[in-house]
Amino acid sequence: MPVPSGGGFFVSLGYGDDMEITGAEIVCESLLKEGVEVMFGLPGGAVLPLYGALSGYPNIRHVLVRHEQAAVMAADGYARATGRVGVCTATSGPGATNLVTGIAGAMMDSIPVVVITGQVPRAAIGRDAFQETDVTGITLPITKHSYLVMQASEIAQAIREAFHIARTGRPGPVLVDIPKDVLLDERAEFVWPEQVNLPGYNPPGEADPEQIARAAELINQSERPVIFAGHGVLISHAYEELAQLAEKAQIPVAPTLLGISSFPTSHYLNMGMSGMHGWAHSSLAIDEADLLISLGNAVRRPDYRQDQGLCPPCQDSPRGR
Amino acid sequence: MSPNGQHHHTLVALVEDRPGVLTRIASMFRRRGFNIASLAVGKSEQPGLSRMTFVVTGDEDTVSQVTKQLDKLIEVIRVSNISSEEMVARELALVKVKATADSRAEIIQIVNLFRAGIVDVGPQSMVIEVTGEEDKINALQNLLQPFGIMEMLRTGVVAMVRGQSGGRVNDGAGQGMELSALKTIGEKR
Amino acid sequence: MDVDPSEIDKNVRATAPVVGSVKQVLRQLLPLVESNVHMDWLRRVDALRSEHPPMLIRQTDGLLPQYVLRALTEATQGQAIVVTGVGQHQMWAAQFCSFTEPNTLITSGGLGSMGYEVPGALGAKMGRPDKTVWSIAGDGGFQMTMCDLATAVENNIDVKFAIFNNGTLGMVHQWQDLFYKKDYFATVYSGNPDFVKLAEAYGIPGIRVTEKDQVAGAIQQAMETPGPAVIDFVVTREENVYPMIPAGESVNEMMEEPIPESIE
Repeated sequence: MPVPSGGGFFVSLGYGDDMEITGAEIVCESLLKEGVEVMFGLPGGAVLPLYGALSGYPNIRHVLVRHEQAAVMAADGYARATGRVGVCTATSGPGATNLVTGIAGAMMDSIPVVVITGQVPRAAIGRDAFQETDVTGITLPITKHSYLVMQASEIAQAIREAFHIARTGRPGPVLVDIPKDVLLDERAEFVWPEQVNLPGYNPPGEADPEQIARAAELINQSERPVIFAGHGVLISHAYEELAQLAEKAQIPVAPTLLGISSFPTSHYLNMGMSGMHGWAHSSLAIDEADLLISLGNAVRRPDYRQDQGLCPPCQDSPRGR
Repeated sequence: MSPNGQHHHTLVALVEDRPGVLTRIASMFRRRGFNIASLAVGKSEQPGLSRMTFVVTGDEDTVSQVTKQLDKLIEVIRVSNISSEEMVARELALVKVKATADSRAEIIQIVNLFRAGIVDVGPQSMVIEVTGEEDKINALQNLLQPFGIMEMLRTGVVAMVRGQSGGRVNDGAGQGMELSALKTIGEKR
Repeated sequence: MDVDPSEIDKNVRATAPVVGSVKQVLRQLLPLVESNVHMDWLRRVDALRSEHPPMLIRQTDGLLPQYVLRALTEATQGQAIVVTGVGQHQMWAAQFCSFTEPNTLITSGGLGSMGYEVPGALGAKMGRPDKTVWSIAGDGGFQMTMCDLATAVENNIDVKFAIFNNGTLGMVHQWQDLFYKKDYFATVYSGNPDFVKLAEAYGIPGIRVTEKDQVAGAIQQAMETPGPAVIDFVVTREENVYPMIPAGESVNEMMEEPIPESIE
């Protein structure tokens, strides 16, 4: 299909400048560059140009859902099962608002999902047009980041950054909202940025040796340590390292709900989940521990009170349903 | 400082100058229940980047969270809590005060005392421009109150660390987020 | 230890914070950690375990969800991907299923959104076609997203759906039982569809299980069926998840069931 950037003389055959492709095609090319094999979605007016282009990209499998919530939750399930970025798409307005619960879930659990929504044409934005919602506004607090792309020439950059932000550091959902006319009418050259330039985004690399030394000191001094293994163990693929730590120093492990599969259930050091509905001995052991080693665990119980001792503040069924 | 550890903190953030950045920052403050006492935004010395000065009220833990949450925003390049540093902090205020023939001389005397300026004079009023630290503006405001303040507008504090340290992105601040985040954590211990 | 600096000290103050990805941190930390045996401590943990034995399922005529989950995890040898909804069945799955590989328990933890079990499982299966994927559903959550059974059919996504059908919003029902004077207002689902017929309407085999001795056979049958299948496990309604530490309370307030006289 489209031609990468580069100089050289080009003979136009009367179909316009073939170096340029539509915004929708740029989206598809960008997804291919990111290695996307499957996406979940449900079309509608504003996103239809993207679907028009998608049919020409058989290497991107599109799974048609019955409700947009399923599209984002399936992308989330895909991401959790594979560790790769899940992708979903929906149209503007109701399509976009139906995504909200799934996006919020991905945000809370740090799941890398890229959400692509169609938006009403640029000229209609802000005019309460048919099927218009301010989806970047609505999802502001429940996305790691979001883009409203106003030029076809900016799509590739936005998608490149969206995937980068979604999967690095503490992962999370990133939304890319693209007006219909940017997908359909605008043409631009497809230039895949080799690098992202995000000066304000620097996920931690090496940990501070002083902090590490202090943690090691506490672990070595501890008589009653417990490892509180959270989702971060799975996200960072630290399965082996967790087992090594537990075995080397013979430390019992209490996984959180999201961390359960970070440590084999049958392992002799696995006490099982603690917390609201965790096993009693696991919660009691945490209560008696002199050191809690919290690994990638959003210590989340809002009603947790530190003055009540080391009651496990783990991630459990928080809504009581 | 109030009894429960609540006090003012001055944070300076270097941010990308793009649509939606202010919304994102304001939304984060609202969602996490933080209060902004004042906020001033303007261009920085670097094209495409703005500098924001926040004055935030809260205890140490709250301010540490505010700093870290600001740092997490993609468009925020760097945040520093400069409260404990030697800094220059200034605010500008415009005060429209009632001024009759009788009171005018007295007002001018107060204005001169504060090294403030008179930027507009009407038959019944004057507009006074004053720059300075918050306390100075508060003091002027108190002195003008008896004459009748018709309207007042304050810009909010802008602040800068004294001395050599620069705020450029490339001043060893490539890892701005990490450094400032770690610093915030370290400072509390 | 967290990759997100803002998580540190957010809800609980850390004595020693470490910022970094867990893998990176552990790699740096491991050489500095001394080998240890913690003999007394592990003995103490064992003693706690004997005083409060986990994984017990009391013997009863009714069909307990715990019994089903244990059978399911035995049938899959802990190698399936388990995708749950939110509520009692989720907690029982966390308690009674065993896992041998990373990323095999998939559940809505922080937000806790019911209905995740259907689309979440479809996505997991699309990502890991080599794995057996079980959707562990409540009858409440299943009805929130069951329209996407059509998606499973259309794309032949081989997910096995196990509905834990107690005809209630189980966890809310449990809270009403314990904290709201058994006022079961708005938690009983009396108009549930026939899930077997529903599955059949989508062209998916549906199996109803009401007795313990049907459980293993039904699971086997579902796993041998190519493509999606639905099992409607009609489980005991009045069953609470224990142990339970009430919201906002400490471990001292933990509620436990008495150790049963006879167990399954």
